[in-house]
Amino acid sequence: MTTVSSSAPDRVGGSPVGDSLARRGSSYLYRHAKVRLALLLSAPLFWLGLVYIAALVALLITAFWTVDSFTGEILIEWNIDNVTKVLGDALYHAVTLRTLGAAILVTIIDVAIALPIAFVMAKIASRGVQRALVIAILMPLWASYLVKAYAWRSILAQDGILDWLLGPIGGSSPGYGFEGSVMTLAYLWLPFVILPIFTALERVPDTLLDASSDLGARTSSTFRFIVLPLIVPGIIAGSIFSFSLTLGDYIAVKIVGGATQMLGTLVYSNVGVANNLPLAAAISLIPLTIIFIYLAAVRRTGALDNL
Amino acid sequence: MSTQPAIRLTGLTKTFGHVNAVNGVNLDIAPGEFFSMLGPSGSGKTTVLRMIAGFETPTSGTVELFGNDVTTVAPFDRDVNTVFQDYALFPHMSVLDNVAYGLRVRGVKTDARLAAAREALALVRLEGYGDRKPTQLSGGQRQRVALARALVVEPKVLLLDEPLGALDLKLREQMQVELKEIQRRLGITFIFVTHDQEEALTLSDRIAVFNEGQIVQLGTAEDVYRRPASSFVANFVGTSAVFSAEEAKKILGHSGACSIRPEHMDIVSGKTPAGTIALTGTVAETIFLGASTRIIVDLAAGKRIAVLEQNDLNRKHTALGSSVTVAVHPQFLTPLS
Repeated sequence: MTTVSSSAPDRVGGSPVGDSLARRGSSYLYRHAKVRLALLLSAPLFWLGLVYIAALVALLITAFWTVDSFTGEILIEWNIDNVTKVLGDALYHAVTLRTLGAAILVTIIDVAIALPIAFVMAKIASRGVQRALVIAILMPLWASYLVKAYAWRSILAQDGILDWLLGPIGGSSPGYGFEGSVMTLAYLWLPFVILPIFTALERVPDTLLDASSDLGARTSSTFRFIVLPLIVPGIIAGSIFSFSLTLGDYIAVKIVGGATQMLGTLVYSNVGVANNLPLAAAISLIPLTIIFIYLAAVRRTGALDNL
Repeated sequence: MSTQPAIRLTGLTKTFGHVNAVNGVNLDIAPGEFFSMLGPSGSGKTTVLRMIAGFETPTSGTVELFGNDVTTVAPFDRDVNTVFQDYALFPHMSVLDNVAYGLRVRGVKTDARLAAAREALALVRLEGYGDRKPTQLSGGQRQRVALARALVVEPKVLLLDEPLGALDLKLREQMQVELKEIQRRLGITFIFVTHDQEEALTLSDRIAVFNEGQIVQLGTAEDVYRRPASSFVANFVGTSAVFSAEEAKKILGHSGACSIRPEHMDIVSGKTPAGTIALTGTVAETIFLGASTRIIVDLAAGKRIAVLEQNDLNRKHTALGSSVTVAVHPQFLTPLS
């Protein structure tokens, strides 16, 4: 009764499967963990190394080259003219500040809209309603980015939906420009902000809210002292999306921004129209630097420790 | 009782969809009482507790707290506090901040509230643990923190929702003693929800036994144990041999349904003591319990009963399958409604 039964058949001796090459290969891999790991990771690491790191490094290097103003060909002449131009020129200062302002505005708007929606989804809605809301929020992500941007173009147009809605109360559509861009970008990135906040809220047990209320905290105090600190990582994860995506966007700005210049549109026009790749590379270093500063600041607050 | 009840529930009913979780509960709980609500899971005891705390609004009926109708008052405006089954400690706060939380949201100054929180931690014998995070504590310690956190705001009534359920046996017994001590020292009303009948019997001044959303019996621990009102109570609180009216007539010669505790029956050899009812049967199973042995007997009259025999000096040997005589002391037969 107490004998330990060996359930696995003993294959050490005469294996019924035979000694095929595949089998020997498998057993070689089984014994050599490092070879196994190398085979498993070589393709993704190659991809990561070539496409991500190499492209970034190429970008960085290109910024220190120049363009022959006559032939338009890239000359490998090391200089820092592009960088000093970007850092020194008032135009780039203005565009950088405008882009940064748009990124901050979009993030604030998105977080402000996402918090109540995510709260309803995570804590109030029934299972069915919750599922419906998740689908409703994901649905725009399945549509093409361009379609959505053009949809906003018609919303913002003169005598468009916004004019029609705001007309009776004396308002009007802001039209194509900075405000229109911010509204469109806030719409585009909203799902990316709602979902991490929703996930964070779902992980807060309901009994914590009960306990807080039981101990005398009104709803506002419960939110401030219990809910908010626990979902800060989710809010930050969402804000990284809305912030960095806004910093780099150019298509939506092109479509609904009118004459508004953002860093993305400057990069785009330097790559395309002006054919000045080194300057474009130098400009694109600005949002990259801003995001690094943002991530470093977030890291310092310790909000990423619990991710 | 001349004083106003701490809690008065009148016609309390709660329906979830089509399910009657609580069905017309009337109950008065006196100030300073250690009161237990005992019942199997799904019997409605926790829902009653949540309605007293204010987390659920009754479908009908009222909750009164010291004479004030608080039926629709929000939890944060009620003078009751809860110790939750899963403790519900705030994971991002230190133990001291957890305990001080109730005072913090009441606007008590930092120094005063931390001093009060330290005092409360001392009450549950957790001095020096204030700087830790809840995750750095054992289950028993978290339990104490939850208790301190609820007590620091000096509630008039403390609600405990199966607070000892997650602890191991030794710790549970130790916490039972401490709970009782704390309750006696502070003199506040404790309402204790449990499905553990032994825990309820050990701790409570009075017990309400719940089944299917209703109170099926209300009384002291001794009342409920000695005089179970129904076969449900007879078997939920301890175990009993339950005889239906026909069985009682046929086997015991007793009129009306009744129950009897295993310890109120004896295995006898030879002559049965005067005034007892003798039943013959064979031993189907013996279960050794340490201080006592539970003997399952198949009665010749066709019923299986359990008899509890003390393993003292007079212990009889009851071999499996042997014929025995069970002596039933008729004064312990409890009539069932």
